[in-house]
This record gives sequence, structure tokens and C-alpha cells, in this order.
Amino acid sequence: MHETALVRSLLTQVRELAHAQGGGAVREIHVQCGQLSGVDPELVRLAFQRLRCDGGCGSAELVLEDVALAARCRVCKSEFSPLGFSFRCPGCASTSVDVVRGEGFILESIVVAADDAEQAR
Amino acid sequence: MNRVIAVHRDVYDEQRCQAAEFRRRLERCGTLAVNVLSSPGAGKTSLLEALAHAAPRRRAAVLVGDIATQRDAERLARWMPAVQLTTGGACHLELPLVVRGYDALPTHDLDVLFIENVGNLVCPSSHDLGEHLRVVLLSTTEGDDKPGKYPKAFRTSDGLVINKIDLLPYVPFSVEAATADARVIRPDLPVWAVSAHKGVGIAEFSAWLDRQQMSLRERGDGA
Repeated sequence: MHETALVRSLLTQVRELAHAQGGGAVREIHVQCGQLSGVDPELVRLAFQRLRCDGGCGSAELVLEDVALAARCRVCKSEFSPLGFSFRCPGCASTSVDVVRGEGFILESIVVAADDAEQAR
Repeated sequence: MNRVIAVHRDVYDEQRCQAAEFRRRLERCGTLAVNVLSSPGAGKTSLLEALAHAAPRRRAAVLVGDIATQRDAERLARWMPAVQLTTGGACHLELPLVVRGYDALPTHDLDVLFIENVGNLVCPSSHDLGEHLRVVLLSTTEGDDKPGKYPKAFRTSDGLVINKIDLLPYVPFSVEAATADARVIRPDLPVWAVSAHKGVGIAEFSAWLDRQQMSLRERGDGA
């Protein structure tokens, strides 16, 4: 259910970006779906198939990358994967850690067709 | 030839900016916003009633999120200004509805704005409502293995209140096990064990809220 609203928002942002950068049909939408983003990638894919035409991206392919959680310890500076969502540093047992990847739902890039024939369609 | 437009922006960024703006607006009034999350029936409304009873001089108001009815706002209105936010179907609160509710309050001269979220440990985790603190409530009747099953709720929370400790003799719940499970995900998470119904343990949690609110005021005065 949330993935529907999220994909609508994604498509709006993609359309606005493509328009701001000179227009053209959107060919690819590259998204990173973090492990702790609260977003289900399969539901995103399904919502995208349903909404892309109404969203003005009917010829676009969604390229969705799953991104695993990664954290960095502020004390020993080591980076680790929080297995089992454990956020204690496995190196020095510190709890002063920052998440460096895997919390967001990131619009990474879009690929836009640039030739006039494509724009005319 | 296709063009690549690099973006690298979280789709939720705009919502987060708006939430940050609302948070700053509350800070200018010296108001600490507390977003309370839990499963349905864990005792969010009872906790807020107990807090009001324990600290009658706290200038508080509440925005209550539910899919339907005004029941919780009616209960809390006996203690503080209360606005019911009826989502009509959405299983979580979102910022625009919260801001409309805040604007409908009779006063903004508040120490604390409580936001009682819709009962749900999943979806509310993803939505910044402009709060300064997020508190997750878990009751002893839900099982002490729940924190690990809701990682985002517990990872994004600033405090855990374990409610209904008056029922501990009757349920297979360990406060220590639930605390340990929550601290896997959020190692320094403060935890309070309370009974909102009996008024046990409320004073300590209330005092923590007071300290957080005073810190917010001091930061605002020093800015």
C-alpha cells in the first residue's frame, strides 16, 4: 500500500527531473532500496508496473538494487554489516556506530532518451 | 544517444525537509514533540493519561491518530488539549495531517506535544512527523521477542516503555529479555518498565521527558 504512494512520488520526481534537464523520454530509473528502508522491493516493482504509464514513464525500466545495511564504528572506524540487525561493533564492541548504507530508498539516476524522434513519441 | 542524469537523492528527502521545518517551528515555541508508537492495545492512550496524572503542571497537548472514532481524543481531552487525527484508512500518520492537527490546537504554548500514532509497529517507523523523540511502547502481553521482529521501529526509537508490568505474574514475558532484544538493534536504548494502569514507574519516565524538554529549551535559548 505504501509502495504505491512511494512509486507515485518517485515517478513525479523523475518526471520533474527529466523536464528540468531538457526533457526526453525516460528510459531507465535506477533506485537503491535499503534493507532498513521499510520498503518492500517486490511491491515497488509491482506498483511500478501498474503506475508507470499514468506516471508519464510508460517506456521506462525500473532498475532496482537491494542495498544491505552497512555501519561504521566511530571508535575504531571499522565498517561492518549489522548481521541480525546488531548495531554493536564486532571489532571493539562499541555502540557508537553510524549507519552508512541501507536505510534509504534512493533515486540514484535516470536515463533519458535524447534524440528528437524519441521526444516526439 | 541516451543521457544519464545523476540524482543520488532519497525519495523521502522532501518529506524529511518538511518534517525538519515543523520540528524547528515547535522548537521556536520551546515545545518537545514526542511520537509514540506501538501495536494496537499496548497502552499508548493509557500511558499519556498516566503521564498527565503524574505531571499535572506539564503544559501538554496531544494529537491522536486513529483510522476511525474519536475515542482516544475524548479520553485524553479530560487531561489536555486533544485533537483527533482520523486517517480514514491510512495505517500511520503523515506530516500534513499532523501539522493540520497542531494548527487546530487552542494553544501552542506547550512544553510537550504528544503525537499518539496509529497502532502499528511497521509503517509509522518510516514517517518523520517532526518529532524530537520517538518512543516505542511494548506491552507484556505481546511477547518479549518482539523487538527483533520490528527492527526499524526499534532502531529509530529514542526510548522503550514496557507497559503492563502488573500482568507479569500471569504472562511469560521477561523485561530483561525484551530489553536485551531491543538493545541488539539500538544498543543504548533507555528502557522503562511501567504499568500505566496502576501508575507504576511513570514518574521516572515523566522525569526523563522533563529533562529532554529542558535540554531543548536550553538549546533554543543558547542559539
